[in-house]
Amino acid sequence: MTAGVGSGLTRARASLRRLPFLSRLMTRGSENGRAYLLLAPTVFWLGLFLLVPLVLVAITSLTVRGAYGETVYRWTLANYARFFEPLYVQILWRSLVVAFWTTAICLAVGYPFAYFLAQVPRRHRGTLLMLVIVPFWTNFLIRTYAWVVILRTTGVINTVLQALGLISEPLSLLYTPGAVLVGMVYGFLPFMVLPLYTSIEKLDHSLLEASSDLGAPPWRTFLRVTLPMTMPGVVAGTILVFIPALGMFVVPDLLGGARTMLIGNLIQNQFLTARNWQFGSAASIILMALVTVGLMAYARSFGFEGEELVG
Amino acid sequence: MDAIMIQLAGVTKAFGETVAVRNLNLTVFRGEFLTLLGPSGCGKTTTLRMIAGFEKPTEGEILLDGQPVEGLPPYRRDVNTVFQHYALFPHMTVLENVAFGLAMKHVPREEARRRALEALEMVQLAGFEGRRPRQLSGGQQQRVAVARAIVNRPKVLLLDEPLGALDLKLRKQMQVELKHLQQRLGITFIYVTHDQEEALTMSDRIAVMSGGVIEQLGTSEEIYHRPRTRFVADFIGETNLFTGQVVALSASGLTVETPALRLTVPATPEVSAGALVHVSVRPEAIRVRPEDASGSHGALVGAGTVGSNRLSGRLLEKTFIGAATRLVVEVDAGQLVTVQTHNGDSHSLRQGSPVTLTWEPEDSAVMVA
Ligand SMILES: Nc1ncnc2c1ncn2[C@@H]1O[C@H](COP(=O)(O)OP(=O)(O)OP(=O)(O)O)[C@@H](O)[C@H]1O
Ligand SMILES: [Mg+2]
Repeated sequence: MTAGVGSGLTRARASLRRLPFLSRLMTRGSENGRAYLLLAPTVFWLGLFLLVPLVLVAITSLTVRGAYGETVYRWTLANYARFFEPLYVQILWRSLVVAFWTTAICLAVGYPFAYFLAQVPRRHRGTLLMLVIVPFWTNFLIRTYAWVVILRTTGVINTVLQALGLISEPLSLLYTPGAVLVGMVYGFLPFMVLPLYTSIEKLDHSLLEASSDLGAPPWRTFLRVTLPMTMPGVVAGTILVFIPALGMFVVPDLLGGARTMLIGNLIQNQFLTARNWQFGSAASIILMALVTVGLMAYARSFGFEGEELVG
Repeated sequence: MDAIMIQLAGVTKAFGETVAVRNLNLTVFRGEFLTLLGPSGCGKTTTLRMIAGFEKPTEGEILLDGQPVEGLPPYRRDVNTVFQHYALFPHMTVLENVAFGLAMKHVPREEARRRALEALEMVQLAGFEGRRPRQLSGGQQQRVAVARAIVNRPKVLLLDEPLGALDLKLRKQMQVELKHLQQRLGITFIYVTHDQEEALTMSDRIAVMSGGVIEQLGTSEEIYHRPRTRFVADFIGETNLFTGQVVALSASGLTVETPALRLTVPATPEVSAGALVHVSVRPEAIRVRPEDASGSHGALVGAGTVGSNRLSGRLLEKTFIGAATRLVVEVDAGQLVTVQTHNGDSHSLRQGSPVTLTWEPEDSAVMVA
């Protein structure tokens, strides 16, 4: 069991490290020839499972949907044009807002938590980190269903509040934007906490003492030293949360009502329900383009090179 | 020089079972350069950290400029620290590092900039203000750390082995520069080092620490020539130690008898007849010359002053150490004595040849064992 936790931890760390590495590939490219050689297997698998599907999606997005949902290979941009109808722009905007708040709340909750983690005595840290990671052992779908049980009118919260006599009518908690946000924050918090923990833990304690020594009260030390020094963790964490939050469809499906359709649901519906692969593909490509451009601008604005995100 | 700047009264610091500092009493005067000197783990850093406010004394009181500092966090103490590993902020430029303390005191931007540049000039780093700490050499980083502290004009500057990471040549240069800076600014320095030579050259007074207590507090000369404990004699510089019993007391001196030798040492008030004592003689206080070939002691009469100490022995080792020559002599009792001579004085001496060692009683120090 402990071994499982350990390797889970290692894997989580490794996947964290991969992200800045990828971002460096995106922004700079490597100057080192040997690095390319080492990359060969990665490049192969990425090519097979990322590039090929991506090309297929891109091609599909430019074709016409036949009467029965089949692909008619006639080139068109109509699928893209359709995305800019107010209904879909609104969905995109809503998705951005939800992803933004998810990220903001994860950061606000995750930072103090990661800070606390980094302060506790080393021997307790493993246990606490394990508690952060344990939820990953259960399927995300099932964990989200658990929130249905907690939030619904006959759910845990309402039952308890009614039993205590604090409310007479059950509150409608489920199928609200709030429920979606709760589910998202719950699901993505570890992705924020782990990179933050990594960078806070590395923080040289003597820098904080130096700041205090030079007359900075704790909150100014936090703003002038701790926060800037842990910015790589903040950037990594926000990216790790924002991007999947933007494409999320499970949580809004289960916890949100019809009014909380997000872009992830839209794409999923186009592929599975409406059987309009063409429009679904166009929406996917637009989302990806948006994320890529946004990500690069974001990383640039902090002046980060890959190395700094790693350490 | 007489105003008291820092006073530690009965300060004890325990970390669980470990007592890092034990009942420390220390007074530091305004503008003084005081050094805490001692081996690793003797509590030097802990003492500094209590003054800076990073550690809370388990017992006792610390007064800064007459005011108790108990309960004041580090950022409210008019004290600055130069950390052993500098602790420069890597995400700030040199200028931002140096101006940090001023910004915290809400000094207007322009004035802070001007004063920071001035401080950088003082440590001879003009022109480096735009660099990041990692773009500087160790010595330059050290200077930034000093500038960052002195720019605040603290009442006391605490320096924890500030030169520990530098090579010998740079160390010597920085020792001189730091001392000049201290004299120029008149800031009280409490300086931590385990390098006794550094302590001797820089300090107004030295507190020699061992195991959490101050073994001796005094000027460089006092510490060097009048060590009060065997630890101090041994730790400061190199010395020859003889252990014996006081067999005779007189106004002009004491006679100490070791199992095989009889030594004359200066009168020392705290020593009574019959006491077990250590006698310390510095290698450079001992004169050496070839013993008369006949081996007759008569040949030496008149060579030394009356009452001077005289031992005969055999030269075991002769090492050229640059400015001087180091000799190891086995004296009659089988004890080894180290002697440091001018290169010329030992020219004629051969390894294995019999020699005579002499020194004046005043050149030795007596400590109660
Ligand atoms: N935070 C701490 N917790 C427990 N023990 C400590 C702590 N800080 C110091 N000590 C102990 O207190 C004693 C004195 O430590 P201190 O750091 O003051 O020594 P020092 O004289 O500065 O040594 P050095 O020359 O190696 O820096 C040591 O035995 C050390 O192990
Ligand atoms: Mg120390």
